[in-house]
Amino acid sequence: MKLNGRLTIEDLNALPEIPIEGINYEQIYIEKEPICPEYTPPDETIIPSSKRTVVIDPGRICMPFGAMWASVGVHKCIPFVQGAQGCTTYPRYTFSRIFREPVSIATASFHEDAAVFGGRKNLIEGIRNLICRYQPEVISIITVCSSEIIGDDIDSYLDEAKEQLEEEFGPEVSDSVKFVIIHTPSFAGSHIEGYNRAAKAFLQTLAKKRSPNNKVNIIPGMVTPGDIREVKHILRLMGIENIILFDISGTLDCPLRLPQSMPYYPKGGTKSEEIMDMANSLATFALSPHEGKAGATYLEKRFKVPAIIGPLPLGVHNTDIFVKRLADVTGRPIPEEIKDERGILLDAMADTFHYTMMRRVAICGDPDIVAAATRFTCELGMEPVAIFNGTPSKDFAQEVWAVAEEYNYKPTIFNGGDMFEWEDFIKREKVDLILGNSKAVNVAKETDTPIVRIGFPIYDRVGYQRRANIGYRGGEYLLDLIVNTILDSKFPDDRVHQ
Amino acid sequence: MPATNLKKAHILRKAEGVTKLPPCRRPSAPGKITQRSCAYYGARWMLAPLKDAIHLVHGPVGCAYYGSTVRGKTYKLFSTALREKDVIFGGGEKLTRSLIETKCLMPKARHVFVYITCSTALIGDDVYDICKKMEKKLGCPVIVVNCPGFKGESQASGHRIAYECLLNQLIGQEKRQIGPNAVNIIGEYNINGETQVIKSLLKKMGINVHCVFTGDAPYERIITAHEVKLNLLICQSTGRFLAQEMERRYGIPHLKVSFFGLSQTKASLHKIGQYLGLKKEAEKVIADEEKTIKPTLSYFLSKLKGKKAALFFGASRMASMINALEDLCMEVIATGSQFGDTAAYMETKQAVKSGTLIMDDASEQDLENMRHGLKPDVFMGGIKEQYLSHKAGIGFCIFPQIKRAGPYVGFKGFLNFARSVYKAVYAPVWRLIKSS
Repeated sequence: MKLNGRLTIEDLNALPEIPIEGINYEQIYIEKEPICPEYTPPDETIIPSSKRTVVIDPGRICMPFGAMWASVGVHKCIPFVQGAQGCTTYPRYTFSRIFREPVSIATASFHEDAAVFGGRKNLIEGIRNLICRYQPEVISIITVCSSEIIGDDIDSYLDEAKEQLEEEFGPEVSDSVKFVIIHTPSFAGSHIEGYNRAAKAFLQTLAKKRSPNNKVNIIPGMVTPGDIREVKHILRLMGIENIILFDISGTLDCPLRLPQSMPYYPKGGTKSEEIMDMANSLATFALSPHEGKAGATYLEKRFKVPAIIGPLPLGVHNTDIFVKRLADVTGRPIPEEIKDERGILLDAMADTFHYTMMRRVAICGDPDIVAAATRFTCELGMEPVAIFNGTPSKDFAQEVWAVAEEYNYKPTIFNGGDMFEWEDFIKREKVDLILGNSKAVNVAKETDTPIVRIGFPIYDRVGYQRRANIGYRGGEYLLDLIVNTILDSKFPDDRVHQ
Repeated sequence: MPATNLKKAHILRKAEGVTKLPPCRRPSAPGKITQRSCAYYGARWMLAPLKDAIHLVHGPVGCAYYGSTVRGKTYKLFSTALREKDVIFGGGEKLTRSLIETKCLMPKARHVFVYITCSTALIGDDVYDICKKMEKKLGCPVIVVNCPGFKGESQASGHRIAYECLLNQLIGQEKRQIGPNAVNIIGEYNINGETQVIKSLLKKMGINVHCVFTGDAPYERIITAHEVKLNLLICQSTGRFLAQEMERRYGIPHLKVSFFGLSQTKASLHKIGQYLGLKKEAEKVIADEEKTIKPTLSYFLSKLKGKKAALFFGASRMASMINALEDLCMEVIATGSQFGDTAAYMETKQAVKSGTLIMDDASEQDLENMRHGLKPDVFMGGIKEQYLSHKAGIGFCIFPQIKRAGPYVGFKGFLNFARSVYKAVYAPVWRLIKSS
């Protein structure tokens, strides 16, 4: 077994630890090219990510991104990233691409001196500069791989920074800003975990016990502004007062109105007083189990606010659970309007099952939305065959297996691998439809499979951030999207007429 | 709130008799919302278009995720996806494995780039040693791009690192006769096919383009790039280092050219023609091309005359963009860049009228103040600046341009450019906002 006439399998086996014995390295050939007669599929032995070390097209980003996402959802909050400049510029590009909105993220500007001497000076000076320039109400200090490896003692640096602020500008300035420290070493977890940690960190720092407020807490997770608006719509119909933690609907989907404030701050976002008040609510709904669970359970343990974790209210069954639990917690009846909305979704499903049923579908994205979408596709009579989730998670696998068993399907689950193996599966076993984010467009084009865009990130189409997929109305929209995509690709135009 | 006690030395207004330039190439102050990026970003920006190479990022998964998109285009990128365990025990072995596996997955690849990121630089993996050993096993050059994010003051250091890698490890590796009238182009990154446009212009003059750094640089051409007669330097801030070094090491002179805007394209073609003794051909090409675009251009000129523009992007094309806008009879009222150097600002200063703002490393707030104070009709920059500009009701042109905008270089490209600027200035939405 030789590669370029030099490498033998003995060479490979001489390397300890990672088990890749028995992998045939010959004839392995990958090209990201359309499937054509010349296409040679890669050798099966190296496709599963468990048998590889190298990661190709990862389905996850590093933790700080999730923490930045969360911080952006807080009113007048600027994330301060304790790391190099790229750690803010890349996320800002990503946010801009997806939401088409400006996002302010400050950087500690790590250079060689910080790598050698630590980031103490950068943090102290940076916090001062940030407050002078932007007068934020909240600053979330987010660490990245470099500051975590250097071992910056953020807490003591922050104390020092506060002292200096008080000395220079007086106590009213140093007290007017709230600081939240979020530890997110990039080499652990993924953006999902970053959001989760941010939820906990914000509540740990800000939540205070006072008198009960009769509100319901919602931690939506990394969903779109449209999704959050849909949750608000359901709550409004039920007459439930609420606090939404990380309400990006007011910060990442903003109206264009002049004159603009200087410096620019979006009107919306969760206010820090609201986060403070979350300790006094009736219950906390963490809609996405992987994104926000830590925050909800913290409130439960510390302040006895019951935590209700997931599932993401996407599709009929999951939304039913959400609405029912809301009714249980608040003691309010489910209003007629919501029942009608449910009815409209079911009506749409009844009208379209001929198109959707028995279609083989592949799904990819972040764990919560993928698990919920799997259930929804099952509800539509579609057969999920390849389910990919970028962040490894036991809960995810259990949830998906439960759905599959309920509907008697046997999907292949790629739990925490990379897009490469999932894509290869699709190339081998043809599917009728792909549900996934913009990263899946590649394989959709290569295999000529229609794709419905869902989840994060969607950067190659406009408007998806404004649309809801969750709730009954979101289900309607998603169903229409799925059916129309199938109609566009599977039926010649003359047969579409009813 | 505290009085803002901030020095604004990095912003300068050009005035008669003032010879000062904004201080540049300094580390930016912490706490800014900077438009700069890191060395890794710079290196990716340079090396991503190299097609027949394996690009392996030795670091956490995030760097690979972000780094796979360069200039709005997605590239295949491999990652060692460093985990907690590797940070503690070292990631060397993972790198070795990954190198073997990637080469097996892409056996056609001619060279391998291994990018060092913040974390791998800090934990101190001996990447150089590993790569040197692997070179023999893989049978192709394995090049270490030592670009941890904290290196240098901005992405400019990454640009330099990338070109140093090419210069030291690839260029001049093979001796081969290449045809007459062959030139290299340095600092051209094939945005929306711009490389092809330039190539075809030069081909009409009878000039063969050998290697384009790095918009069109196959392995074979890089290693023989030192055999050409002349280097054409387009992007000066990123390419100057390479051009100067090639002049020093191989005695290849370089010509500063630019294909942005009518006057510069014409001047550049003249210059090249003069140098290579192809004067007549150059004049013929210019006459032919100019004829075709004239009618459309005059419409745009009448519409854009006297409109005010502000610029903020990478240093490379500040001066040439100013000239291009002046070809459109527009007025540049502010200009700046994230990582310009003294030479770039010197050139910019010569290009602008007196009274123009020149900014180095302007933060988001500086740009906001600038827009607020000067109210330009159109603002040009990267996508990060775009949406804040929209929020202020000011039209925006992304530069480097988005996919559908077409190439901006050359004669017909100038029409594309004029069209983009026209769209940004005359979008009806700006009128509708103000009427509310």
